[in-house]
Amino acid sequence: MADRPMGNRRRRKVCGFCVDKVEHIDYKDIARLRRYMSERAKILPRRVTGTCAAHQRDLTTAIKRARQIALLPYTSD
Amino acid sequence: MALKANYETVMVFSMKQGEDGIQALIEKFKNLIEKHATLQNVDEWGKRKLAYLINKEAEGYYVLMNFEAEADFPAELDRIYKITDGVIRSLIIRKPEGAEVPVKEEPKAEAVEEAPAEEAAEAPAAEEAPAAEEAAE
Repeated sequence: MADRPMGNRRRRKVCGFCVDKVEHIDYKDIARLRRYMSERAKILPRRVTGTCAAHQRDLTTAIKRARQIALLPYTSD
Repeated sequence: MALKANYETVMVFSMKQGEDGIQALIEKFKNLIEKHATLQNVDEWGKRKLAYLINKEAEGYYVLMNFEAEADFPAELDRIYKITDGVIRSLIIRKPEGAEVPVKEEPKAEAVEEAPAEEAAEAPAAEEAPAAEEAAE
């Protein structure tokens, strides 16, 4: 019923890290971190990804750490 | 007071150092850490593409080490990173309390890494999740 985003009011977003019970977000898991970045390598806001506040804070540090050692780009384009 | 904590460090070497030069640097840092701290784990990721150019270089040689040390050692290690030629990037972080020190999956290799025996029990849970996500992408 509520599968398609179109037509329905809004889809309930859940934090992907809470679903997987991730306690500490790993800055080395770049495949995962990439999903929370835009194409221009910006960190996506919570309102887009549905991440909870606590995980968004951890995510931000993780992405920034990955950038420091060139695992992820600061910008892309 | 000898308050110890777990740390994790990643160092990126310039490929200009050559195979031998890089191995020598790895030895150097291994010895340095062993001298001042307890080295727990060394994980050579090997050659990786950099996400952005560093000194016009596109590739670097990544090595990760875990160690337990007193609080003043990381500063010293960082100082040595900065004065050592061939180290183009480095990162030292303090592991959060309660985080075990496992050999995490490296981003590239899909294969399950052989974790040291004492960590084997915790490893499977950590590895299942990332694998499932990659499939979903």
